[in-house]
Amino acid sequence: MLTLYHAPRSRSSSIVWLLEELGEPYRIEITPIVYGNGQGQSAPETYRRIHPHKKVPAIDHDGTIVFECAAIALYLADSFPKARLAPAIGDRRRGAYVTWLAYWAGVMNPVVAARFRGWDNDSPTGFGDFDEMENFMAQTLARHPYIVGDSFTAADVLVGGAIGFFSGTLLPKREVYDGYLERLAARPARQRAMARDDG
Amino acid sequence: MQATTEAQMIALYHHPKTRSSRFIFLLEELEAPYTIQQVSVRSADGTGSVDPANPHPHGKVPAIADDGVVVWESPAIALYLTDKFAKNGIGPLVGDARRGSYLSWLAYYGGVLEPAFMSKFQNTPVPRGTAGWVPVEEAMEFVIGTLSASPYLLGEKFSAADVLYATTFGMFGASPMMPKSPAIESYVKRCLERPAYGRAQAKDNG
Repeated sequence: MLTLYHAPRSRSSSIVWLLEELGEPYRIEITPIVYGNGQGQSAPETYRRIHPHKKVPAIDHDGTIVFECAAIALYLADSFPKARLAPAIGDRRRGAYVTWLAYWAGVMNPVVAARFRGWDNDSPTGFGDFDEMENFMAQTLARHPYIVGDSFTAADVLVGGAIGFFSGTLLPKREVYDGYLERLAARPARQRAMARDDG
Repeated sequence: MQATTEAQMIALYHHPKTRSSRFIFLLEELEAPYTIQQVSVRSADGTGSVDPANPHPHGKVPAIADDGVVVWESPAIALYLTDKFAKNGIGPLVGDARRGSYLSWLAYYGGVLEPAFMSKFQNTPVPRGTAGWVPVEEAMEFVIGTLSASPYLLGEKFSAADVLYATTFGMFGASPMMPKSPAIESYVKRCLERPAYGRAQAKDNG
């Protein structure tokens, strides 16, 4: 059994999309969280067994708990290879695939948060340089239609999700982003996920 | 026995006493064929410059190249290498019951622990919801709780996740950013006493 601990309109919404791409049966466990605007309340203390900081997303797959979006993406795509959401180990695209998932978590996320909060008004933060990151993303998408190459992978769920969220606000307007976001929005799994976001 | 050709060697782009040092440790643990490509980096204090020989898009270390396949970001390199060089069991493989925990700890390192330390270092807040990470005190409470219950992050057995965490804690050592914890102290000692770490230290300067 596959369970997603999820809060509507949060970071776990990407994982609803990923699960729809995966095509395996799953259930959604709506989980209370404190949102960025201070709304909401935190999950009961018993939820710490699933997530150490009582956040979402987390998954439970037959008793195996996985948290952190990048880890969930890696875990699910490798566990269900039929969905072809990840280059297999040994495939030459595997390097870029694991790198983009780690880059999303370790660079994109904090660099975007820093820009959003204005921490980098005077100089880049230790998280990384926003323009350097943004240029690199745009250059990569100018070379191929998806972030890892010619085909869609689980990395597009996270990277594309972030680009979609900040397109036209924190991110400059670019044709490569528009085309990429159109390709992602046309995916039936993405549309099903949006309909299921409220649980 | 056939000699290892250059194409079969992992190239580690490295600068002494930086985050790339830990991958000499991991490559030694894996007994993988590798070469160290020492590169210059731009330091936080403005000295040094990006090395054109370094394939990392931002000129940082570590990065590895495997017959032209480039990987960077510590959790990605750790996962890539343990999946490729599986024989020493340093990283649970797909299908192993510990795979989920292994991936969670790797992702947590890049997505939570490092940004948490950086937030503390640069004295910026960690707003819940906006930030995908937590204050370093909360992160360390989770790590210390885990290491009080078992010798390694995944339980009884050392893994590549420990390479990332133990070297980080070892590097911060007595820094005021690090909470005092006997569990962490004995963990760092246990991990850094490993023969592979000693061999890696001897090679750190290239």
